Amino acid sequence: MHELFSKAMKLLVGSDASFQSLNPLKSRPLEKMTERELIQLESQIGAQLFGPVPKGTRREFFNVDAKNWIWHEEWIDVSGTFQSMTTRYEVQPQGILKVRVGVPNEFIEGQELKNLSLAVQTYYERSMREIYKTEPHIINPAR
Amino acid sequence: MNPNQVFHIPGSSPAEGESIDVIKNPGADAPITSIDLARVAVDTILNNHEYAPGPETLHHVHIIDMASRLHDAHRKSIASDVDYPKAA
Repeated sequence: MHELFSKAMKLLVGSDASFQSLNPLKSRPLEKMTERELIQLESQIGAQLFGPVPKGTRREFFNVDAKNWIWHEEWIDVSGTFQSMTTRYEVQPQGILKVRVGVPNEFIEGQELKNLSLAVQTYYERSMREIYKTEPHIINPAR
Repeated sequence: MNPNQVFHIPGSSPAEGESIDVIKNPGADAPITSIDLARVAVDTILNNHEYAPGPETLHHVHIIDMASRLHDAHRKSIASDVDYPKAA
C-alpha cells in the first residue's frame, strides 16, 4: 500500500515536470512519451470530471494502473494552512476499496460508487478520444 | 464498542493488557486496552472478508474493472518506457 502511495505522489509531485508545464507535452508525439507523462496528460481530463475546481484548489484524478485510481486535492484552508488529501481506489473482485492514510479502509457503495463509475467511464472515453485519438471500447451499453 | 469514540494513546505503545488513557470516551465502563483495539482491527478484517456486495454494486465494479484494464493496456501500448505489445 505504501509503495502505491509513493508511486502516486511521485506522479503528482514529480521531479522533472510540473502539472502547470504540461501543455507543451501535447505537441509531442505520444509514442515518445513515458507512461508517467501520459498519465499527467490524462490527469488534466481527470481534474475536470467532478465539476469546477474552487479557486486556490488543485485537483488531480488519474488512473495509475489496471487496479488503482488516485484522487488528490490540495488547498489552503481559512487559516492559511496548506492542506492535502489523497485517496486511492483499489479495484478488487468484490468491490472498490477506498484507501486513505490514517483512515480505515472501506468498500464504497451507493452514490459514491456510482459517481466513481461514471467518472472512470468518462475518463476512459475522453482520454481515448482526446489524447489517444481512438474510439474507446463500449463498456456499459446501458449508458 | 462505539466506533465514534475518540481515544488518546499517549506517548509510547502500552504493554499488552495495560490500560490506555481515554480523553473522551462517553459511556465507557472501563478504560480501553490494547486488547480492545486489537479486537477492533480483527473485526475490521472479518467485516471486509464477509463483505457481500449486491448486484448493482457488482455491476459498477465490473464497469470500473473493465475500464481500468482497457485504459491501462492501451496506455502501456503507447508509452515509450514500457515493454508491452505496441499499438499498430
